[in-house]
Amino acid sequence: MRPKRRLAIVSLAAGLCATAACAAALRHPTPEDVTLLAPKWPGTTLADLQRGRSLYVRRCSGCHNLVLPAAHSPGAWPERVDRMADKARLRPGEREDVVRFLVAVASDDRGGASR
Amino acid sequence: MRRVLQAALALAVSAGGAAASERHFTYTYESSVLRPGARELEPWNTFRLGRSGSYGALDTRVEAELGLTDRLQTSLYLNLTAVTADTPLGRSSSTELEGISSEWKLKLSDPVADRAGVALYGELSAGPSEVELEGKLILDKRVGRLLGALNVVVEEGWNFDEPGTERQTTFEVDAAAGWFLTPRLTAGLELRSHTVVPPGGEPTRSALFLGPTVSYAKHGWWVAASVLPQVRALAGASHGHLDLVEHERVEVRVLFGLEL
Repeated sequence: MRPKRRLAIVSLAAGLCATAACAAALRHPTPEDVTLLAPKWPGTTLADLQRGRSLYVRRCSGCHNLVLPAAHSPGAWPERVDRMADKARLRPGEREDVVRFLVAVASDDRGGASR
Repeated sequence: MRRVLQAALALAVSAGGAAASERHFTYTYESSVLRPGARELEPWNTFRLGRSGSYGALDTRVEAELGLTDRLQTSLYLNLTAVTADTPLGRSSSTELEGISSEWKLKLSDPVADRAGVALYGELSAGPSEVELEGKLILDKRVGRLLGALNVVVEEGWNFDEPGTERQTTFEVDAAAGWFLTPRLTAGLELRSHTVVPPGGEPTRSALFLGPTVSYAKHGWWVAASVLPQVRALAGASHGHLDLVEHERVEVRVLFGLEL
């Protein structure tokens, strides 16, 4: 392969990798999210929210591309998750974890906080 | 035939939401896998047109996919090829059962939740005259309405037609970028670099294809199509700047997915 072509391919690959590295990903829950949810769902733990994130990524991506939580209002998430919970094989406790994670991150991200 | 069409239509109407395995490109794979227990039928058709002399080929693959776990899916293909080409004895046509393939795809990370989606892909094909083993690294990323994907592919093939076994290596790099015009409709560009290293010291032949791709997904079914003309030979040019010995002037591929 000629050096110019090799350089072009390497540049393209590097550009894609850089784009991916800089792009937003689904953030992990923090203690601040637990505090945020306390008035509505007291007793929610960081472990609950971490489990919610993990379930959201593994179960929901089997049926559709994931959307970032801020794509919908916090109030819209419980109904959206309810509608698809059976298909995603979410048991009641798991469904609660997913909803709380999505509501927490949607509330925070739509409020303009950045992490 | 009418009954088959009616059954396919009924399945399309009655099936649930579109599966995450919907493809937005035709050569470039994405990292998504079917959810456990989900099944999908995917007929593929690839038209390869224009070599030296008159040449046309149709590759048909019928794929049945099954989701095994949150990260792993498998599928089985039936592969057929029909070719019409000029030979020294005149024009000839043939249809051949190429064989069957078993595909395994393991998703390692998600294109939205993680920095990039990553998946490993392996495929074993076996037919009356050849065996092929293919490995693929799949990378993809979705940012808002933009979707990008990159595949690096290595394939080893063993052909038993000739006296003695012939071994051939193929390298392929596929890259694609698409834009979600609506949540269901994407349009983009796909780039394919295909390099064949033949046995016995014959020259390496490599070609670059580039063209538009579109996809549409609805509840229970999806379709993706591309037209990729050869833009230039990277090695082994035979007709001007093109290779028309191992590759065609244009490849047109249409994929259809039906959730079962």
